[in-house]
Amino acid sequence: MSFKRFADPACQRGLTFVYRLQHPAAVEVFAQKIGALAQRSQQTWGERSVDIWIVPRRFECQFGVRNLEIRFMHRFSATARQREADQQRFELALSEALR
Amino acid sequence: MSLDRVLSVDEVVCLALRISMASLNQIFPGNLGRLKLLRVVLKLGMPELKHMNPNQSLDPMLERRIRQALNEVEQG
Amino acid sequence: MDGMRFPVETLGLGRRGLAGEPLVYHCNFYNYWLQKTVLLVDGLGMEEVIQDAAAASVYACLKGLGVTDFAQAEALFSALGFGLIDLSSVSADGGMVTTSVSHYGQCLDAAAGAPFAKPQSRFDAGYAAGAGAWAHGRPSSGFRAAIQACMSVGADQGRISLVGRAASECMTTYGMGNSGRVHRAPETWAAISQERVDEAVHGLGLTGNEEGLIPRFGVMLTQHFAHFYNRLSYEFLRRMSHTGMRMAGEHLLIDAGYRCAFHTFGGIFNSAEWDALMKPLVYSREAGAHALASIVSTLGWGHWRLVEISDRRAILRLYDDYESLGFQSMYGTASRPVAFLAAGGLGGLMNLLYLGDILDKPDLDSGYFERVFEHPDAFNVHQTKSIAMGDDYSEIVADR
Repeated sequence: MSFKRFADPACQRGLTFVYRLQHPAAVEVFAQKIGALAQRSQQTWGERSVDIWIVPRRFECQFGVRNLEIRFMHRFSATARQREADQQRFELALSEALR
Repeated sequence: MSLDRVLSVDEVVCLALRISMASLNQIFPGNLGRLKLLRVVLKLGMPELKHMNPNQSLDPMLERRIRQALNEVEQG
Repeated sequence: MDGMRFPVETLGLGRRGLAGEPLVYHCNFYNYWLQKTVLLVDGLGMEEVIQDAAAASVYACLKGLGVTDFAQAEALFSALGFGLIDLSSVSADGGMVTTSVSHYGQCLDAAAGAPFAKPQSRFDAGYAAGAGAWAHGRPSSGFRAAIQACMSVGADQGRISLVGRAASECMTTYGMGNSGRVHRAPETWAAISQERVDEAVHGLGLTGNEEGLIPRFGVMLTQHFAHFYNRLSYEFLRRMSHTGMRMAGEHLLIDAGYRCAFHTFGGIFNSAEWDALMKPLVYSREAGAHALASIVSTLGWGHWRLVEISDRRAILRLYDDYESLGFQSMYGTASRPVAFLAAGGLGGLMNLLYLGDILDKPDLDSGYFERVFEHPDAFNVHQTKSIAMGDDYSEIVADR
């Protein structure tokens, strides 16, 4: 596996995870794998460009928050079962994007 | 004053002999304690608590009221 | 929620307004500790003040927006980070309002650290009452709201009943109110202009997501009504003025600001957003303080300028701080300084930087909070000038 997952200690509810990558992910491959349900957008943080995918009321992931770092956030409304399934789906798509 | 639980033997003895069990500084240690004391002051409506000698032993009845109020302010 | 539907403007020296109502960002920690503090004293009637202040704020904002349909009021609730509210069942006589997501119902427990004995969603109730009243042509206090169920005490959704009432007196807001006499705050940090910081921070899209929440910097933000905060704080103090406990009340309002600063400022320092926007400019604790002050100046709190900063002492000048302007607009000239949130904020900032080594990105857990708070050499804060007292700016000194 070419990423490491950490629970974000700043998140008060354990809903946020940080993924550290060994090399950059192929963003377009990820976009294809995560599917059409996810709404894609982009933000500019100073010099940094952050790619964001949101599956409404389930999760949000932000690529490029730091170098080789992704932030993954479950939504409040998602059930525990949904969260587990969504995170697996995200990791699968990420793995594909890292091949 | 109403009692909402059975007193321990120690508390009964202290009450009977009017022996104090703690000072304000012991109940409210440190900076966080100082702020908890202010919340208790407001909860009890007793501004005089701020002016008491913090190292002086408390009357057991007063101490009991203070501890009850502290429990309340420590709830969400 | 489409952020463009509610264009929040930046006005003057760091003030932000929507439809003539000043807005400020605040986190779940501040929302919890402020509410807890003003409700400590029985018999002050602060529960009603909370609901009336919420009702008056949303009523004025919707009126300013010129919208009367519930869809807009629901969208506003979400955009400001309060959650998801359903007002569709409210008729001219009243009805039941539900919240499926609620900042006050679900996000305060992280700040409380203990279970709630009472519902926390008084703001939601006031919002429902104010929005319903505006939509049905009633005065802002034309509905009585009662919390029937709240997620803070275990309900699966919030439920608020509204019943029409003949309103004798209505709380009103002060709109954008007064502004200070100074029209440009001095630049005290040359690394980046305030305009660029404004642009960068507002480019982060700090509005409610599709759940109506703003999870950012490790806290849950709201973009809230300044009138609401000011009414709670100053009405609380006014009602305490003959109890001999007003000073204790002031200390606790400062403490609420301290906790807000500790968690929100701490979260900002630790965030990836900080690393992207500010870290390249920050080469010392003092630069960190200036950088944070420039970010704070984008939150609707007024412009923060550190005119002196060292490891022993800081002087913060506030231009158009929302507390002082709000006080002056509601109650006239003050006899004492009233920038309690800002005072706690400066104390929190200094302790984070000089005692908590926040630039090294420690974990912001309760152990860290306690270590910093209990430090024997912690900073004390004193308010030395106030716009509310007629000064050109408000000023707070932190020293140790």
